Amino acid sequence: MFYIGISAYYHESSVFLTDNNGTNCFLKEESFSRIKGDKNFPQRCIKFLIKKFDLKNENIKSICFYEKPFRSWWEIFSYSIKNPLQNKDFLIHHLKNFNKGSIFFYTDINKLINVSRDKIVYSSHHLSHCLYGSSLIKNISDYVYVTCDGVGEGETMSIYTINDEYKIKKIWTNFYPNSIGLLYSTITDFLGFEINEGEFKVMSLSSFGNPIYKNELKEIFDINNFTIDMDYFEFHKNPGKSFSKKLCDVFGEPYLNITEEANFKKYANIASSAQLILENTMDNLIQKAINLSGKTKVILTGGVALNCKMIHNLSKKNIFEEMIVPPSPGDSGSAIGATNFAFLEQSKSKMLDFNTVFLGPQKKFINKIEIRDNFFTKINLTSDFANETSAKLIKGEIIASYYGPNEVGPRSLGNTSIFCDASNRETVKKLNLKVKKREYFQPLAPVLLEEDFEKYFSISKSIVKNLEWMGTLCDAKEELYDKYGSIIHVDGTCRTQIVKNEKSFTYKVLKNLKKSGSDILVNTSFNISKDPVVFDIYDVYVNMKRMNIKFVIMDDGLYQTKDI
Amino acid sequence: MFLIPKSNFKKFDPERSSFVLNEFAAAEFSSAVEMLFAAKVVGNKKLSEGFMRHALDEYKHCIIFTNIKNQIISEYKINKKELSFVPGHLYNKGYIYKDHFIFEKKKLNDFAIFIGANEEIAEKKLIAFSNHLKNHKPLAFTEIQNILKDEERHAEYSLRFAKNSNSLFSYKLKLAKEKTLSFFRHAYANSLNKFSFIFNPILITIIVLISFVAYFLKLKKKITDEDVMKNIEPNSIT
Repeated sequence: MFYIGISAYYHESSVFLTDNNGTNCFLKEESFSRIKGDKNFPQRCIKFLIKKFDLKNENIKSICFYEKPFRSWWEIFSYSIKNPLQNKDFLIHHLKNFNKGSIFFYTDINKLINVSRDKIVYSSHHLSHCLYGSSLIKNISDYVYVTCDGVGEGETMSIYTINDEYKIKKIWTNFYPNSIGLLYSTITDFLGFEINEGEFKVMSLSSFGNPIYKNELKEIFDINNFTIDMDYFEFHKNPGKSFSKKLCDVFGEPYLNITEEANFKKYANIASSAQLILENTMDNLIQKAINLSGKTKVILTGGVALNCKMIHNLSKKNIFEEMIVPPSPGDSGSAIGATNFAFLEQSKSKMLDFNTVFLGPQKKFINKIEIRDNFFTKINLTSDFANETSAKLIKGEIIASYYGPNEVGPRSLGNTSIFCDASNRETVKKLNLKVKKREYFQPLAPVLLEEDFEKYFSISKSIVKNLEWMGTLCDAKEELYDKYGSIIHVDGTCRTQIVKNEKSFTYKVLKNLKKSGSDILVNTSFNISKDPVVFDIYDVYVNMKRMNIKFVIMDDGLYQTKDI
Repeated sequence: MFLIPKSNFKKFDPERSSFVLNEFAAAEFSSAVEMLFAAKVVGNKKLSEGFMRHALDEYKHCIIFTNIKNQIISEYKINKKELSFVPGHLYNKGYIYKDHFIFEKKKLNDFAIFIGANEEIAEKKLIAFSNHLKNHKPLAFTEIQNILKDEERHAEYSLRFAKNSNSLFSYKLKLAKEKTLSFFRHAYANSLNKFSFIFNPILITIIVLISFVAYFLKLKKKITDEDVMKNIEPNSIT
């Protein structure tokens, strides 16, 4: 019997299926539609699951949507309708989209599977975040669960605890519009980046500036009481614009071209100020959570938790014993939390827990071998293709990887990645700007064996767990600068991943690379900017051709693209 | 390209040119996505490879249009966020459907005619647009000529396939039908904003009425909850 969790309609849609007996399948709609951040009802994911698992009413235990649909719609609407004429543009937009939203979840799901109504359950937005976080750990009662995002069901910050009998207690909540997430998104919009996509660019940009606007931002957002001054915003009035003229009076002209030096410097200062306000706010929120719960271990979820620079800086304040940010803390990962809700709701005294972050389908589960052979030729000469791969990497090749199960979350952790030798400056630069077409101010991330980590990096013990899925930054030591300077961000940090699992192919490649004199690989996700990560073998081929990458490591060998 | 942007303006206008280039990029990207899907499901190796090549061309065109647009934006210092290419907007702009790919709804022969007809229409619009760039952006003009050659080839392949798979009468009838449908699709897409003149006053009236109800309808908000699982109603949407 399967439990299914679904997150959709507002951020990137995802589905998670589990039988709690080793079968797990996490999917994102963007993998099938090839539209990055696809937020539509994940009908293509569900069709895939129906086909692969023969899903029907009889073998489905429960399907859980990650939030309460009407509450989610109404809480935003009811705030704006207090001034109906002033906020009419937003309200019209909201009303027009009524039938496209999650309120029709049951209808949408029933078009695909005829499932009985009592099997459809609805979790709560922040509770789903919290339950995703709890699925990663064993001692659930040791932690306090903090969620912070833009908004979900009218909530913007929540604090939960769970005891050993699985009793979940909500100990504090903050409400819309008082949202640090929405402030950060508004700054993202102001700087010309896309909301829900460009926040990580703001984070990277912030390292180039100084927080000279911190006092102005503190006027806009009270970091102690977590309240916002809505005069600076328009997200409740206008669906296409998040900030008001008053914010422009503070920061000047929006949407400037940052390739010009003066604009870049100014926008970096704004980004730096927003980053500082975010960090101060989260510092206060975490302290509040610790004070209210009496627990010093924290699970942080919600879209805000994707800000790995914040995690790193919070760790330096020594306010918590441990902080874990799951690999997919945003809404996409909430599909797993929703599944956990369904499971707990049925069992009353059990929760799902996973000992891996690779909850996606195996590549061989997605593809037929004969299709692969139409597009690729196996080129490894021996069975030790990890060694052959390392040899190519040392020679300066950029190599894609496509093996094992898919990752959960926005960061590729080796199984669906692009690698190059981090000691080769030219190759790293080529990979970043020409192959991946990223912004020049965004550094690439390194991956290395756990045993080598301390040689090159330092990090507070309290956040070390997050290194397994690139969930935090760490500081570069002097030893890193000479040989691996191209992976260090301007502020001396790196978004490092450590590899512990000796069975993983990434581990084997790194071991072999070490023999050739390099300890670190660059690991970036297998996609081009504005495209989702590859999913099936067709995507692999098309993306390799687009990026002009010749080689790809798969489960059983090293392959080269054919010409078609 | 299945929905082709309007490009019939008389003088070179950098902002409008950037807008049209952005729309062309969106149309090419959508076309690439449709072709990639067709390659995955067609079930014939040769055709699959053809669709893949077509997809690769369309992705390449998207990048070329985006690069030209970025050059104009930079040169003329245009600060408009609407000019950035966001894949997620393709749904709202009507370039692709939320619930299906075109290949899922059409037979292979009809799909070929559909591609051929739309590539021909796109070609004409692109020729008209590129002429505006000829004097101001000669390099961009040359790049667009290369795209035009690709588009011509795509149309030719598709229509040749369709001709071979249909009788001449049926082929001509279907081609005319596709071109007519394309005309109406564009007319509909271009007049979406005009519909709002009719619907918005109705919606505003509804909103004002709801605002009275909203005063009384307040969902219970809890700052704390002693037992979340006990107090939540799993089957409720509120």
